[in-house]
Amino acid sequence: MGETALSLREERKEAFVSGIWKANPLFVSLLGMCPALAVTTNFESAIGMGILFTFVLLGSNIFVSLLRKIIPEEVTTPCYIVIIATFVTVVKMICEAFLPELYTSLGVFLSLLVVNCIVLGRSEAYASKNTVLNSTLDALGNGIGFTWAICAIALVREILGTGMITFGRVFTFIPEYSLPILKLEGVYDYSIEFFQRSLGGFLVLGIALAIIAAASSYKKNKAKVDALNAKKAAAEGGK
Amino acid sequence: MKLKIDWKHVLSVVAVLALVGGGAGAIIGTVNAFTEGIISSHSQDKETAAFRECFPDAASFSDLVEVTGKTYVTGYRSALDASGNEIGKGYVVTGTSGFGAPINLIVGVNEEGLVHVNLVSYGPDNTGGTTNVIEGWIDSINEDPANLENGVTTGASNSAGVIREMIAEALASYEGGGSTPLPDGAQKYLDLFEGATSVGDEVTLSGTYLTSYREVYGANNALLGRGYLGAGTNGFGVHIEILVGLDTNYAVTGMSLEDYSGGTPAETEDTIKDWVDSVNEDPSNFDTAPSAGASYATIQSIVTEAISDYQDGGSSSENQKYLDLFEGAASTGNEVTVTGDYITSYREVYDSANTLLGRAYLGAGTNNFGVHIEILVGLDTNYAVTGMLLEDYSGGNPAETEDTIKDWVDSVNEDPSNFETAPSAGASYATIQSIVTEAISDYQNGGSSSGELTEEEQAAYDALLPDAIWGDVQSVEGHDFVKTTRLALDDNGDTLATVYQATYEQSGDSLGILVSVDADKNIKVGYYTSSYDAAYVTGVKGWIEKINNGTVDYRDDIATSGCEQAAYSIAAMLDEVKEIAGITDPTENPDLTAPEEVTTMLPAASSWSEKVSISNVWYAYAYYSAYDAEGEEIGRVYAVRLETAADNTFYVALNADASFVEVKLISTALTDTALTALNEWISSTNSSKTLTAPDSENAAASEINSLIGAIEDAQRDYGVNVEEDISAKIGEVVTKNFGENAKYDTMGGNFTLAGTPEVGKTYYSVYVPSSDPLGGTPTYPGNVYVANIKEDSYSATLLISVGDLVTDEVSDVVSAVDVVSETGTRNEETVNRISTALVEYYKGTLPTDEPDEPVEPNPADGYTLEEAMNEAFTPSCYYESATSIDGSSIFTEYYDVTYEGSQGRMFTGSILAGSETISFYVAVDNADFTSIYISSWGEYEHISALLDWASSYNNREEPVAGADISDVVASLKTAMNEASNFDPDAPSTSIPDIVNEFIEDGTYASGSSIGAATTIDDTFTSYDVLLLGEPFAQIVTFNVTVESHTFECALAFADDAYSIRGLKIANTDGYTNFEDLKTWASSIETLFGGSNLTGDETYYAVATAIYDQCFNAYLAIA
Repeated sequence: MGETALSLREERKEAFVSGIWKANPLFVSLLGMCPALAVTTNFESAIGMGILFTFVLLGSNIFVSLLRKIIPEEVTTPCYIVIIATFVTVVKMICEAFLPELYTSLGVFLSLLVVNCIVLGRSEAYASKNTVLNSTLDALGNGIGFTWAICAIALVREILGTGMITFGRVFTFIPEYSLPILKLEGVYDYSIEFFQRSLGGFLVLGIALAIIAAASSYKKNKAKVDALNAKKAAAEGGK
Repeated sequence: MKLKIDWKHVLSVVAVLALVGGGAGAIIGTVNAFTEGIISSHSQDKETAAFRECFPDAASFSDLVEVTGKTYVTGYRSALDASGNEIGKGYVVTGTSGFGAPINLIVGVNEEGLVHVNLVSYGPDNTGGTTNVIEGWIDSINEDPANLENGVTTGASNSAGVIREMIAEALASYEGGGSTPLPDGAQKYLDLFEGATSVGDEVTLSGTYLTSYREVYGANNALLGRGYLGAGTNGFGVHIEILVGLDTNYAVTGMSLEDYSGGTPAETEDTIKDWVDSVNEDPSNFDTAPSAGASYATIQSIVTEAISDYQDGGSSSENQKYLDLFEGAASTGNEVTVTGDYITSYREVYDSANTLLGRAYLGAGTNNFGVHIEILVGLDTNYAVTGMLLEDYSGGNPAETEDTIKDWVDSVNEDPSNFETAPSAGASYATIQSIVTEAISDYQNGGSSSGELTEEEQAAYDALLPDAIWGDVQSVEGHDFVKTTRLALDDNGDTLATVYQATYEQSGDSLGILVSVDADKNIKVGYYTSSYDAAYVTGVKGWIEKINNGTVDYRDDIATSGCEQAAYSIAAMLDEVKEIAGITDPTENPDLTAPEEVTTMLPAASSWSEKVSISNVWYAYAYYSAYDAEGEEIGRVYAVRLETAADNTFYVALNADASFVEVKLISTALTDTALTALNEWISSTNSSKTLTAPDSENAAASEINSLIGAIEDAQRDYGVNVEEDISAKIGEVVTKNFGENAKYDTMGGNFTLAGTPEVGKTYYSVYVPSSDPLGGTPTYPGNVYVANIKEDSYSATLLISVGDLVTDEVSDVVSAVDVVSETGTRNEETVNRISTALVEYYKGTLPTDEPDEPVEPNPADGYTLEEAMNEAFTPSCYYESATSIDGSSIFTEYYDVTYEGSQGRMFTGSILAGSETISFYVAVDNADFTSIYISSWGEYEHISALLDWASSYNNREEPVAGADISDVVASLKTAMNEASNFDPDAPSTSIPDIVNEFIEDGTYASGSSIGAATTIDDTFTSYDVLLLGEPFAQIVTFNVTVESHTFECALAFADDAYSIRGLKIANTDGYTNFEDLKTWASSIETLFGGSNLTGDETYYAVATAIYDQCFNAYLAIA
């Protein structure tokens, strides 16, 4: 019994944590590239996209999980699409009503969440097979993972591309403020507009993926070497 | 084998799909219901903003007029000025992009063509690279409409093509007279008037001949007149129907024979047709009778009735029934809705002298037999019945009594006193009596049952004119904002003022004001109601108060109102009230805004403009425009200043054709013979009106020659709108002469070059941005100068480009001449003289190949500012005058420095070294590196070591300061650190946390912020509390020290500057009773009631000291 409880807890922890780091949808699974490139020209839009994405993923995962036992196999995909589209539509309407600047900033990429492979993928791969609680945790984990990933890219692109971080243009309920980092009007300007363009987005994403791949490779190799060393030490000790 | 269908499974699939679909629909529907209104409001705001962007000067916009039959244009709104005249149209244009996505534009068009294009939306979500391309292209169109033809070459060429067609259709729609299809049969009305473009609604008439009319409008919606339709039968039984046009002077403008039938028309039809044709060719032929006299007589009767109708504002219109109730009635007021038991409305009725005859009340009731009776009854100003009209008598059992009542009504009309004589139809009479009694009562008490006012509304009237006795609220129509008027009377019943109630509504917001206008046309504004929140209303009320106090101009000072949106609304409403009340705006017709010296020079002027500054001509620096009574400019008086040996200022008066009127000496440093000579020349010139050059022996020859140039300067400025023309031309000239990548900066107003008085004071510095994508220094290939030449037969404004021109193959300084305006035959000699002088001048500004060896400054002598600049910002720099620094204990001023395309700053400061003052300059370059240049040091004994240290520091050698100078070096490093972190926009002092607490805890309205600090004295500092950027309250800070404990205090005042909003206290030295102290200070009651001042002696002493200081703070800002 104790073992089952522990296993369940670990399963839930894994459901939540996995998407944040180990199976990060953007950096590890390489999903959701389209919005990751399109809305990461500024940090605020990326935060907005991350929050809205998480809401859609949460809603669709919960409903798919709730309905998983009654949706016949033949119509799973249409049903999932309808559920996802419902939440995307709801998010769009709320965003347009209450955060019109964010709505304008995200543009078509908000609508395109309907066909976002992370959302559809988590519905198919996880929510349709797991409990509501686990699906909720999975959605939150993947949402947070996707959000921090695009925010990180956006932070780099906005700083390099504009020389500053600006707040208040998308979330207009906070006062507009630009934090100069590489650029102070009339004094210095080390910004590189290239990073605001699509190619700049590809470059930043590519470098990020390369760093992660290198780190991952290093970690794997180190584990192998450590294992070999341990084996060797054990063998020498045996002698 | 037979396929077996599992119906149960199919049904379950269908059921699940229905469940999912239905659930989705329900969720979306619910959210949609919740957000639809908000989204729609955003959309409306965006559209309104788009129209406003097209016509920023418009006072209002008409309702959207839908347009059909167009490919792209779906509707338009007319942009109206304060007088309601159309200044352009904003077209709503919808198309489809190259990718099939919708494109929505608002295209502003006026008589001169395209005004502005606003991309409301592009594609479903306005994103993607093509949006940026299209936005950029549309921006370029707005900068220069000629770019419309250029299109975009890459990225969105299909969409650009569609947009070009969309804009073209909007332009064509405007040229087409507004693009609304004319109502059926309206064209014939247009044909009656020259230049007619549109018609008003058809107004039905019930005259002897007339049946209807339409008003006819021309360009800018100017009323041209009316087209009346009337019919009659001539003596031979011929039915004649004509449409006759009458202009606003009631003269016949044209005619159309609509029908000529029946009777025996054949013989005369052609005659009449010919006559009508002749009238259309020359309307004065109307008075020449054709041979068909009977028909002519009928037509004359129709036209006479039409003229009569037009003259008296509608004698044969539907108002006639009101007029029939009063003898000598000529016109009626607007219909006023009344909510009584019987009466529903009334109109006031006037005679031809506009004297009030009484009111005609419309009322209805039902008698005891169920008969519905509706009557119109006239009451004179003594409330006596003057006449009556039975409008309806139906239902119930009317047959038996209808005739009786009709007869009785006729008898009343014959003799109103018969009203008291009851007819036999008693039930109906009782009902009619009830109607009339209520009408009389309404009239007598000034409107007991008229348009009910809320308490808030009545309170607003009372607040506006507290002593007034109020008349009825009367509805008025036909205005954008003014909805009602109401008379304010004194105790004797005399009119104190007319109060206009105006409401401005836009995008869901509304603002209502009351405006009283007294007999002397004095205006007082009162607040009425609005949908704004309370904090904003405070600002609005404050603004209204300022308007009433006369401390602001309700239109010119809007930017300072702190409630701009409301202030614009108020301005629009006040403009309309003034227009209705016939008040001439003093700013439009000022008594005299120009000085007396000016106004006496053109005595025919009725009014003058404000002073208009100019900078693009040589001597003239300002002018005043003179206007006649109609507002036409009849001349100008220019202020000119001669920068000759003496500073001489004159006024030069010119006629509207720029011809010379008079010159007047205002100030001069000339004396004796020279002054006499100058005055003699002025006197003779004013008499002869001819500018004659003086003899070379004239004692004031130099000044007089300059003065002639100055007068010609003024004439040239008046004759040619130089600045606009140059602005239109300069971009083209820069591109042509310096290449496509060249850009230019306008260098303002100070340039002079000896020997070329023709060259304007403003010139254009051309630069080519670096092609290095990572930045880089721009190149400066040359300048463009303006030359204004005025000779006997030649007048021109030229742009002379000087520098390394792309049109010239050699890399040398050359010039090119481009014409802005030119009349007469060019005097090449003059142009060459100017060009050569400019080229030589320009060459002189360029660094030579072998520059002079700069003299190295000797630090031991102390740096001058120039030396410090040259050393810090190499190879050369440019800096403007110093800006003083407040709030720094080290620096007094700084200079913004431009060098190599970068920006830096040079600070002037000083520190104390013992008793000696060490003065220095600190340079901060574009990379934030600092350098220090010591300028003076008094008797400082270690100066040699300090100068060595500074020199090493400036060479980035990281020197170590010896013990002798370590303190001074530490101070200098502090100074350099301060310079490096200097923010010119930062407030001079930081805002204490306890001050910000008042904002955070909501003491002040949401959106408030802390503004600039003002030092009141050594003890108190005051911080402005800002709302909408405007200070509206203050917080005063001070420190209180009691027994080694120091308390930082902030006392917040309300916007009335004496009510206290609260006190915040901070303590950092561990005072033990601090929490109790804060509790005491946290509410006004305990603060001033002293209710819990019961601690130990120290506590009591602290609280008392703080309390006393609060009182002193109050006195300090009072």
